[in-house]
Amino acid sequence: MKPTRINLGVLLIIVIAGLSAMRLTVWLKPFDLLQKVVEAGGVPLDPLTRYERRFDCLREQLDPDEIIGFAASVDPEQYTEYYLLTQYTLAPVLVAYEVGRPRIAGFFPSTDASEQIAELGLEVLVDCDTGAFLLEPGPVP
Amino acid sequence: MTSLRMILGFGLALLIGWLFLTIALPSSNSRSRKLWLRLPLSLGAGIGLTSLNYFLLLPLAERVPWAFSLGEFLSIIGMSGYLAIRRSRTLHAPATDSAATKPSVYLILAASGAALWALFNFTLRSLNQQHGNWDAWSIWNVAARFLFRGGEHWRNAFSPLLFHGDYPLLIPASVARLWTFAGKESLYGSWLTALAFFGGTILLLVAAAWILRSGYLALIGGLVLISATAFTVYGASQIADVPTGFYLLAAGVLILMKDKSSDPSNRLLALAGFFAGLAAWTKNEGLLICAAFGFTVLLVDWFHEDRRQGIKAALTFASGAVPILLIVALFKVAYAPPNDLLAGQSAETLARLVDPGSYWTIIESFLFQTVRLEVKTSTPIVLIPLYMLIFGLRKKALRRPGFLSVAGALLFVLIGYFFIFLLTPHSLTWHLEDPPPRLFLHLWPTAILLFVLALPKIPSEVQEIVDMNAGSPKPDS
Repeated sequence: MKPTRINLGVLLIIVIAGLSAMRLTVWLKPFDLLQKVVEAGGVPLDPLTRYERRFDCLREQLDPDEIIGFAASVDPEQYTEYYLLTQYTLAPVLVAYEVGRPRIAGFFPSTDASEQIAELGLEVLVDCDTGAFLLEPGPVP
Repeated sequence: MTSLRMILGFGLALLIGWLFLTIALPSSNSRSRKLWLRLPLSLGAGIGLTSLNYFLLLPLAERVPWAFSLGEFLSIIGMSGYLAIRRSRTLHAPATDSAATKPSVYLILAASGAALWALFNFTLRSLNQQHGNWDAWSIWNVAARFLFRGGEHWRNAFSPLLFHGDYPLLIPASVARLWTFAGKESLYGSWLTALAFFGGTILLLVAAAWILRSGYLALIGGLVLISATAFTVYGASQIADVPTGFYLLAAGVLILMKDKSSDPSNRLLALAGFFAGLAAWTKNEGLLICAAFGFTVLLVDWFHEDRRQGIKAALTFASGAVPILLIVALFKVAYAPPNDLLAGQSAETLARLVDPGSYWTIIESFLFQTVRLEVKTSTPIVLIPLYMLIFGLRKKALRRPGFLSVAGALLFVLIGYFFIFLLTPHSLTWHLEDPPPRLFLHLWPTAILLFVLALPKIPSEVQEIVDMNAGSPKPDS
């Protein structure tokens, strides 16, 4: 086999590896990340970490023996994601994908959270002032 | 301090893996090469063994929190003691295709640059998604949190309420173990584990190709591996697919090395079974990987030698896999909730067996995956035949038993994945959206190793061997 063909083949492999690496770097948006680092004065807080911190005040209130429910006022397409995030946050407490539990972890980030909670027939037990709540079913009318 | 303690925990896993391999595999005459092969194998073995130790001692750790450390300490003492008293053995170093060939400086520079760039991209991805991708935090890291935070409620990790609570525990137990060492949770635990398998896969592929062929082709293999952007994206995403690919590669490497080894004890084959077993401890697909390797080892030796040899080879492979598979079985029977794919089987799913449309949908999806170029999902398998057209093929390599066993295993795994999709209880279109790139990643590193082995001797490689033998320095081509 001619060395020229081999060398071209190796060069092709190197070029493809380089192009792939470059494409991936561009896709990862390093300058956006750099801007966030500069603004935050260090590694910026991940959005998941920010979400977790909303529920800090609930951890002491919860018992790993119980299974709590979940309710949220978010886009329907994002409901499952927020449910899974809440489970991730509150582990080892189990969070069920339903409201019908004696206690419910709630995420209501908007200013009219009280109305939204009441509409679901729930009452506030603990308000973390972050959009995160511990709720219970309200009295049956 | 947290990071240091986690690195210490990591180092202990590496030590345990190293001791284990030293017992299972005598060290090599060609020390430097073997070091670079044993390092990733030791890391994989150590992470696997310590995660098994963590899982098995969870019931005891409810009352004795330091049970995990005690188990590891005792294993280090036991293995070190055994090594100290056993007679030193003569090694059976695998015959290599060449002396320690030195690739050209340009290729070394290109490969080193590519590796550093891949690490840079890995770091960027990790910083962009500090908790990993969706699957990472909703399946793997959440399980690690249940195991670490749970105390006497660690069994909550396997609740049917959880998303895929039936998934095996190599990754969650490894991460939880590092947190236990550190005394607290830290994102570094998941990052370190992901980095170990990402870097370990690259190192294992390059080291194995170097031993089995040459440094020149090894670096080419490494460059092709990194060309799949999905490898870096998913490698940094803290999920289990790159680790599964690592264990599949490890099993394949050991079977290929057995071909060239003069060791009559078949330790390499048993060790291949061990690593295939660890694939089953990593993801459910690992069970298929284990079965595929066992089957192809049986078949190839059956036809290459005779039936007795085939059965002997399969039993030797099984001797390494079975201890791990027993622990997987314990997990599945005693703790794990039902698997959604198995539990959802019905007449409707079985009807797909006779639906040509379903077959074509899956084939189309697999074919598309081979040419896919989106950054997040690219595993450009189509490049391999292209490179074959340029470089040619060494047909003699294709007939070797080890090559046939490993290639056959990859094919059976791919067929197995096909039937998993065919019989999915979920919507086929939905199920084919996300998994294919990740499943192809299981096969990608081993496919590249086979590609390297199938390449003919190329002039630069041959000339380096001639010059090494002549003892004269060679100007780089």
